[in-house]
Amino acid sequence: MSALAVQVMTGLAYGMLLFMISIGLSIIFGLMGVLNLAHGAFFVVGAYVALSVLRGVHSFWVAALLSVLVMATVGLIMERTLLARFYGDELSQVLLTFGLAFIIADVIKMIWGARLQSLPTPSAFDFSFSFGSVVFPTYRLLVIVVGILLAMLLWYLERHTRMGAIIRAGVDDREMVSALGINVTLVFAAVFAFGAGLGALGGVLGAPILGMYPDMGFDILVLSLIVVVLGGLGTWKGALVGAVLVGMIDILGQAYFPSLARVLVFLLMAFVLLIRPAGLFGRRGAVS
Amino acid sequence: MLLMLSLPLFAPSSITGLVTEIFILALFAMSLGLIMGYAGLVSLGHAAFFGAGAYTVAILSQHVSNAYVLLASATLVAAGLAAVSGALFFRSAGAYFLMLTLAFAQVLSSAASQAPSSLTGGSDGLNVTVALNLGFGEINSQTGLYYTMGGAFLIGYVLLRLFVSSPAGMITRGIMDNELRMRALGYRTLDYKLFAYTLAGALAGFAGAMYTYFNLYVTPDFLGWIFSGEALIMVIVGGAGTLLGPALGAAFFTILQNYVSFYTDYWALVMGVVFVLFVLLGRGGIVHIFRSLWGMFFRTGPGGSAEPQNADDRTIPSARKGEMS
Amino acid sequence: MMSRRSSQSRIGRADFLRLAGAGFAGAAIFGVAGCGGSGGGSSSQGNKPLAIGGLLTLSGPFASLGESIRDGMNLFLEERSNEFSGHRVNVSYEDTQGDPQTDLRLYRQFVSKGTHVLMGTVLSPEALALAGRLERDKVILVDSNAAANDLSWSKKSDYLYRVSQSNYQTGVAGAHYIAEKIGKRAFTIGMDYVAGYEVIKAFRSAYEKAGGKVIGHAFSPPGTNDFTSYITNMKQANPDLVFAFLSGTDAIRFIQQYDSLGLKGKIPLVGTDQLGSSTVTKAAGRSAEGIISRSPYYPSLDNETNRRFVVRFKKKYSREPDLIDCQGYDTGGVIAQAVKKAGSTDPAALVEALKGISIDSPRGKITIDPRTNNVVQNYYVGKNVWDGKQIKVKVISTLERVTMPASPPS
Repeated sequence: MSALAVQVMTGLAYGMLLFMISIGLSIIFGLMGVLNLAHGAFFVVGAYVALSVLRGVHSFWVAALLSVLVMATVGLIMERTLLARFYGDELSQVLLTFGLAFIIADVIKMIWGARLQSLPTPSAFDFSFSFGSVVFPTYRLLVIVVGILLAMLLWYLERHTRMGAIIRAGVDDREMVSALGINVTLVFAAVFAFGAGLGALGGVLGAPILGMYPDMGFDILVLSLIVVVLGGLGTWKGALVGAVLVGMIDILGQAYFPSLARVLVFLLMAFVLLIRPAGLFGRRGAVS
Repeated sequence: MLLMLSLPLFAPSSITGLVTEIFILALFAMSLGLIMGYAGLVSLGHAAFFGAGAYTVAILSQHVSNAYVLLASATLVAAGLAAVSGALFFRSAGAYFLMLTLAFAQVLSSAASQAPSSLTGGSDGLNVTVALNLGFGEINSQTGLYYTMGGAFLIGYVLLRLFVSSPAGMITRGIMDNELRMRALGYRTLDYKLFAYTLAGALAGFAGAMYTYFNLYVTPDFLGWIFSGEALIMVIVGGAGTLLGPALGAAFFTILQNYVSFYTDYWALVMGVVFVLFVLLGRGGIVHIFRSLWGMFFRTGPGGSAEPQNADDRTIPSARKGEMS
Repeated sequence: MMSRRSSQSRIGRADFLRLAGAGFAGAAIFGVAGCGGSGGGSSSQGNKPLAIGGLLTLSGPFASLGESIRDGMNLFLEERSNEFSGHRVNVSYEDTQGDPQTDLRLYRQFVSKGTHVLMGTVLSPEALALAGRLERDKVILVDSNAAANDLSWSKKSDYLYRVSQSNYQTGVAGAHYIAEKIGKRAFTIGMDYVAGYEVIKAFRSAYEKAGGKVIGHAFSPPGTNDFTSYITNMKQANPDLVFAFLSGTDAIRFIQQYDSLGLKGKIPLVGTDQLGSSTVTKAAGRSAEGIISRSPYYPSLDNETNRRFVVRFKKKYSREPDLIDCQGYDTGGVIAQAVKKAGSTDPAALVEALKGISIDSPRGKITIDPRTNNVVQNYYVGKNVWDGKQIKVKVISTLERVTMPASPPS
């Protein structure tokens, strides 16, 4: 049973990482209607940026912070220059971001090489603790804690800040929000940057566990799409529940039903969509 | 035209092989072009049908050797998958549909990967020893394959043309332009979309089956969303609103993949940039470029301007309007 | 098929123009591309140059293996001044990314350029995808790494020669030694693909014949980053030893996590050559201490060829060579020897020369067994010791002339 406990915690940690990347994708799509197929790039490039920072600065946390800031800025630039002109034209956005994803993967290869790399676990957390007969690496626990803190932060933002209210309203009814005179451009830009930064956080935190390689953006994207579709677009709760579900099923699946692991995740998503076409927590009309 | 017919006679074998591969991929791209340009459905899972056709031939060929049986089975399997998935997924709109098709492709890809090696070869793929025999001897040589695949391409093109000019095809186009209106006019839009989707799936499966004869190897990648995405790139770069546009896109893509990769490690970058440029400029792909070269003189159809649509237009930016034939 | 087309409804003018345009465009593109496509080995007066194509994984989780093979080969070429018996040698390395479909594409390109000798591949599925075509295209593949048993059994070909090792050999070598000297209850872990199954299967049957028992097993997908679940299961099973078949970054991660989860020093870890290889031990650091591996090669081997090899390798690459580097080096050695024996670079002559060929390798003397076209070689048992700064391997036993049967054992 201790083996099960370890698997569960690993699954939770993995789920938290997925949560960090999926949150951006979900809110951005729910609010702005932008399906960013290059979203995985924030995760991966965030990790690579941290790698470069670490070559000069020897603090994991400084690297993480810098990476988040850099990627948030990159996200902002991306939104303003490339995506803004296609609001309303979903297809072009999808195609554009899809092409970007390919380009970014190769740019990563150019700058950092094609090899699998990883970040060292921050030394403060590089040990395991024993709980009875269970030996568990502390770092994973840290990841879970960060995820929970993030969820709490989002809950607070949504409930108690004006921005949170605007976003909630915007997800429900975009036109109304702009009709109310709120500076939609600013909101969109801020949300996009925030989502990018969170994605980068996930990438940096995840790197000691998952490693990084140029094509990783695609793999992460597929998983976060599943999370988002499963949980419902435009809701952080959906992203959290979806991410934890996907993370657990993926890890537990690998441990106990290795031949079914990835298929299970997809089947779950298909099943949920068939009975609730808007996802578990989704509200926007997604049915034609 | 004459050039294409006589190619194997004078071109080096690398070119002949390349064009043979292009014929098959062009067929695949055209089938995606059909649902994108005429039914307005954007899918990131079209490779599922291609791969299904490819795997059907690969697996069945171990027990059956009749080429017609193999090809027909592959096409039917793909058509079946398209019909079922279409029926299930059409309920969801736009981005959800896109993600469902992606997931569908990945389920099949994972299934092929995880299935016992003895059946599908697992993640290593399956080596196939099969020779195409259409009743007059085995077609093994490069020249033979070239003409066969060329023929397959033509058949596919003809079929697509037939559909597009048929009443059913017109109606499908109408549905893409304005589904509500068509429904108000009494058409059962779902049926028409499903028919187009199934036809496209069948053609993709046929292409996949042919590819197995050419490549003699199948891999789960043939089923997945990245390959589907590559088909999408072919369609957009070639020109989404026309039948042949995607074929040109397929040619462009394959040439780039084969030649650029020999000179630089970063061919995906090149392809990505080209693709993004086409999207940003909103043109109708390569087809549009050639049209412009030919001049206004040859444009057909009412208001036959091939100017790109506004970015606000939710439909595919292309020279579609001049396409009624 | 053409008749079908003309009986179709009349093709409108626009259609014709589009088709013509397509054909024209196609011709234009192909014309340009065609200039790039032709070329290749031009026969000049004097000795024909030998073009060798390298199909290696230069990216992805197994990039280090591809690079090692390339490094070894390049060192050999440098020693011979890029000439084998008077023939100038050109090697062009291509990145297959470990994807057999990419191999096929590159293979077609090499063949169309007139390259008749290929080296590689790193992964078995890649070689298996190519094996069936070699004889038809008269292309020789010198297998620098791919270890699938079938390459010597069902896919054995006069045009395919392996200079590395087969999964069978990797598994059986030293199984007896392990059962005698280390423990009789083993937990195995292997990578989840053809090679993993074959190695573990061979190990298991040899180990059980020697009196051992496999009490638990696991297969991890290649590229796994997180071995926690597997290591937890190992702890629960509490075996006398863990036998691991892992490569590249998988090996590095496993060793590190084996340590951080508390098994290092408690349950002996025994593995295949990668667990003692300097590429892995350097990255894994002290976590790799105490691991026992069986390998056809260690840099500490005591023979003349190896001493020279290690010195030159260190000078060129500032690191110690491992088995994979040696495999690359020996690929050059075998091809060079074949050219010398055959007196030409003609594929048919090379094939004759390659059968049963022998060379002096840093591993000791290696011979190609004509029954399998696979290499026969010694294996050595080595233990990882920490010398204060890094891991070094101490050879503690020699297993002579390990071979593989001509057909799968029942």
